[in-house]
Amino acid sequence: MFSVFLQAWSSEGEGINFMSIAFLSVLLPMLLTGLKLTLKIAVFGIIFGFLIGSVTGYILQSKLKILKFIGGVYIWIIRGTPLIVQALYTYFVIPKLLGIDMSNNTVGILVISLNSGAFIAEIVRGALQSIDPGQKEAGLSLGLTPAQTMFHVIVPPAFRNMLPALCNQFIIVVKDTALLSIINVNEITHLGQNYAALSFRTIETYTVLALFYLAIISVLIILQKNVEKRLTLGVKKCSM
Amino acid sequence: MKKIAALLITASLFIGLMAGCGTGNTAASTTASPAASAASSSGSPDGALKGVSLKIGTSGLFGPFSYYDADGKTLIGFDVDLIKALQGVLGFDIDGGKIQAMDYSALTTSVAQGKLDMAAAALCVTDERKAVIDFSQVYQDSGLVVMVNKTKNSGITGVKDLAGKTVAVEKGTASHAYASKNLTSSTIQVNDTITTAYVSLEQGKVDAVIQDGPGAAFYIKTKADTQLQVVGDEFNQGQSPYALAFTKGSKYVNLFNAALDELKANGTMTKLQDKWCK
Repeated sequence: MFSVFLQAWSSEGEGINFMSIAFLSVLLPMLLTGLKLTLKIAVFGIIFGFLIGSVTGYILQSKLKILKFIGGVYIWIIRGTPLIVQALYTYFVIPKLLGIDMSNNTVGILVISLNSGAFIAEIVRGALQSIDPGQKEAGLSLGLTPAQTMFHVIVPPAFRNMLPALCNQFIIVVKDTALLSIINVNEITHLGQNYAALSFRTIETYTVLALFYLAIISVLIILQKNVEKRLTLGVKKCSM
Repeated sequence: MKKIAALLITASLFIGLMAGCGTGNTAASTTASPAASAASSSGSPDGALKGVSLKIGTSGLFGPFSYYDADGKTLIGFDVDLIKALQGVLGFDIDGGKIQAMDYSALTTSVAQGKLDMAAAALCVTDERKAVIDFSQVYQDSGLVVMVNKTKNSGITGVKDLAGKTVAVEKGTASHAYASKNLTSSTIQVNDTITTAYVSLEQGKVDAVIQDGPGAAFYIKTKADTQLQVVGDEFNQGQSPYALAFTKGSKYVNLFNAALDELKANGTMTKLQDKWCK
C-alpha cells in the first residue's frame, strides 16, 4: 500500500504534484482568515447559547406548567432536527416569514446559539437538580430571599458542576460551525471546499483542513483539562 | 510523544487510504478498454465501443442541457440526448444502467480522479479543468452572463458594475473560476448548487448571479414569477465553450471526437440544438 501511496503523491494521472507545497502559500492564509470567523461564530454561539440555555434550563424546572411546555417544545424541535436543516431553515425560511434581512454570519451565530442553547439547557437543568435541596432550604432559613439563595448558594456549585460539560459543548460548537458552510458562511470548511473545487487539490486541501480542526480542538481539550483541575482545587472532596 | 506518533501514523494511513482509492479507480476504468484500443486504429467510430461499460456523469442542474423532468426523476436535456446519440454511434453501455448526477464540483473531481469515465453537463473548457481533465472537441459555444433581481435597484448593467457588490456563483464552475480570478473587489458567495444562488438572488440576499448564458435564459424562461433578468452582454466566451470531459490520458477521447464529427455531419447536432436551444 505504501508504494501506491507514493505513486499517488507523484502521479501525473491526477494532475497533482503533491511534492510541491506551493499551494500552501495560497491555502494557509485563506484558512487563517476563515479561522477567525470560525472562532468568532463559536464564541458568540456558546455565549448566547449559554444565556438561552440557562434561561431554558431554569424554566424547565419551574413549577409553571406553561413555561415548562415552552421550554420542552424548543428543546424537542432543536433535538429533533439536524443542524444543517436548522441552518437552511433559518437562512431561507425565517427571513421570508418575518420579513427581516439577516447576513449569513448573523444567521450562523443565531443557529449555533439556538442549537447549543437546547443542549446547554439540559446541562443547566441537570446541574441545578444535582444540588442538594437542603442547600436551598438552608439559604431560605438563613433569611435570604429566593433570588439571593439562587445566586449565592445554588449557582456557584452548580456552575462548577456544569463546567466540564460546557467545555465539551464548546468543542462541539466549534465543530458544528463546519456545517454552516451549507449557508455560505466563509468559515474554514467552506473556504477549503471552494479552494478544492477550483484547484482540484482535494487530497491536500482536506488533509490541511482536518489538521486545522485537530489543532484547534486539541488546544481546547488541553484548556478544558486545565479548567477542570483549577475548579476542583480547594473544593473539599467527600472523605469519610 | 506517543500520542503525537499515533496521530501522525493515523494521518498518513488515512492519506494512503484515500490515495489508494484514487489510483484504484483509474486502474479499473483503463482495464475496460481493450476492445476500444483495437477499434481506434481502424478509424471508424461506429460500434467501436461495443461491449464497453462507461461510467458517465452529469449535473442535472443546468437546463436546457442537463436537468430533471417535471416528475423530478428523469434526466433530460441536450447533453442527455447527446449521450444517447453517441451511444447510438459508438455502442457503449452506461455503467449501472443510468447516468450519475452530482453537483459540478463533485462531477469534475470525479472525472479527474477516474471515478467517472466521462461527463457531459455543459462543462466549460477552462484552464483549471484542462490541467486535470481531457476534453473532447467543443460541441457548443457559450459565455457567461450577469443576472440581477429586477425589483432591486442595484445599478448593475453588466459585469463591469460588479465591483463592491455581492455576487453568487456555483461552486466549481467557469463562473466560480472567473469570479475568483477577476472580481477581486466583489464579495463572492460560493453556492453548492445554482439553485441556492438563484434563491439568494430572488430573495435579495445577493446583488447578482453569474451563470452560463443558456442556463440563465432557461431559468428565466421556465421559472414562474421569477424576478431575475439578464443584464449586459455575454462575456468570457474563450473559457466557456462546452465539451465532453474525460479522465486525463483517457483512451476514449479520439473515438468520441470521431463520433461527434459524425453527429455534426449527419445533422443530429443541428436537430439537438433546434430541440433544446431555441
